[in-house]
Amino acid sequence: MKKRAIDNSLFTGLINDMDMKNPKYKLIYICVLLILCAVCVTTIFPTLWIFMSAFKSTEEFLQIPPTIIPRSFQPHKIVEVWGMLSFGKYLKNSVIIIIGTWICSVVFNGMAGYVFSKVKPLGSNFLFKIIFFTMLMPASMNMIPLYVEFTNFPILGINFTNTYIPLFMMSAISAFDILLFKNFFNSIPTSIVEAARVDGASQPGIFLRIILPLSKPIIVVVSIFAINGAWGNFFWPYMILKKESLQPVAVMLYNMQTQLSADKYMVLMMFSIVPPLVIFFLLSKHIIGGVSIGGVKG
Amino acid sequence: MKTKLENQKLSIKRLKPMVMKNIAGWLMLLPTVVFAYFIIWRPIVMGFYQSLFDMQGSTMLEFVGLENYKDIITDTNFTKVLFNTFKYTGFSLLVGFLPPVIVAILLNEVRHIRAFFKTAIYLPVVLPGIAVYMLWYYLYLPGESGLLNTILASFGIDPQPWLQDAGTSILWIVITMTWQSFGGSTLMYLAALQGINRELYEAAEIDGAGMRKRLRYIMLPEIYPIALLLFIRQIIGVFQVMEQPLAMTGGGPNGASTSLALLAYKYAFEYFQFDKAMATGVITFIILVMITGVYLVLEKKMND
Repeated sequence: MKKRAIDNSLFTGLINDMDMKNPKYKLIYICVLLILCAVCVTTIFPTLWIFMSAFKSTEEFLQIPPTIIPRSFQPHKIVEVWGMLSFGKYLKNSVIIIIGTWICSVVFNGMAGYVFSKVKPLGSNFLFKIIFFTMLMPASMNMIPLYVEFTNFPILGINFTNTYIPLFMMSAISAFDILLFKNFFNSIPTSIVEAARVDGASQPGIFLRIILPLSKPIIVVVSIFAINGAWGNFFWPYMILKKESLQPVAVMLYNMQTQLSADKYMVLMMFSIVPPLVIFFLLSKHIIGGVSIGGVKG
Repeated sequence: MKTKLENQKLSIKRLKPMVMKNIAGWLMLLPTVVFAYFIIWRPIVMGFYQSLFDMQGSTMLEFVGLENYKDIITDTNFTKVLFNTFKYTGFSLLVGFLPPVIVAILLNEVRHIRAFFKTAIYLPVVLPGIAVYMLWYYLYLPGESGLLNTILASFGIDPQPWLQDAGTSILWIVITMTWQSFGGSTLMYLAALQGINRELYEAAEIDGAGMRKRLRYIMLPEIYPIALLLFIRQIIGVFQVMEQPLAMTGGGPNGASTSLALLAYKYAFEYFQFDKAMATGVITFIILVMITGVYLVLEKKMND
């Protein structure tokens, strides 16, 4: 909160208000603005290009050299591609994955963060350190063993391929989310928890009735990252979900690369980037604030 | 005066909530322990263990010791893949490490439409990874149909082969990775810069410190710890690059952009040699531990 308050004020380090009256510094300042504009063009233009290409006619799209500013505008391509690929089916799968992933990551990581911060049973500090240390280990090392484990789970040898369970399980343990929650709960005064305990509230009761309502801001941040991550997650769904009827949008985007003409593929790409962009523009304050809170999110 | 017995009673009274608290706490931690076991700990141990066995698909046959490792390392492609992986890491540090620092310092100076700049710079971070790889795949299309080549043509430059050029394909993939991720690092640096105590600047002004000195003695020290963290994270992250070459080049042309992680993927899912895939994962892990170890030692020496 404090950070954001500073954020909104115009607080600069190198060129202060006095300097701005000096023409030399004014020139430097204009250069700074121009460089930043150039950076923004490189981030915005490729994204915009997807939208422009998606609405182009097939003819114009295949034209050599391609037009940078589109001349044709064919919104009916959207409906056409949506229907042709039965996009709704993939969208439904994505939504199921998102909901499951989201619930698991908030509930389990939130609960763990709470225990590590407020309950602190004997030895929990040690567990936290182990989880954190092992999560820093390279993911590429447990990628293959984890896959093997999912195909032949050590409990009853269940094969989890073509189910969403592995995706949910993986979201239920994230050292990063646990750390975020733990740090947040550390900022809630322990006296509140103590008072509730004296009044005879049980541990789960304290968590549900006192901590949860207080922790809305952190839940929002973790939720946004979880939802956006689940929408974009392509590799694990691709490995686990071999049945086409179960695949989410991200996997379909990868598979369709060879099967779809390039101009229709642009429409598909547009479908995949619209939901994150909408969320981003609606909640950019939370998201950008979340980066500052979290720090270590990659 | 309290008797010993009363004291004992008292401590038992205190002990009961303590025990309850511990039991309740560990019950709430139980799911986390279970998930950590299956998702993190067991795979790490199994990865080491199974890499020492001869495997048929994902079933273990017999113990072969370091045979898998020997096979991988003596494979003619291995040195190339190892070199590629270092190339990814090196290029990404060259191309991607400084821009976030510079952009954050510039962003820190801006008085106009800062919110817009922040949003625009963070934009690529929120896009799905696979969409970004495919987007750049199309931007990099060789021949005259690619967008980048069209832009080059308007400057009178011949079309480039981009991803299909064995010598530079890794560089183009690294540029895509940088494009997607630099916004996140930029905002982290910016948050650090915004957290600087204003009194420091005021003091600097009174001392007559110019722009360069303020940058050198106030801003850079503030960024330094984050830069260090991001540096290690970038090495660890990029060293394990897999999705990008998988989606953009398939590891080609002719293996020129295959990384260690992609090699592990290929061993497992193209050649169905899970034993070698696991051994490749372990090799990646060992190299990373060595790199971070060397780095941390150097870092400590520099600080001392």
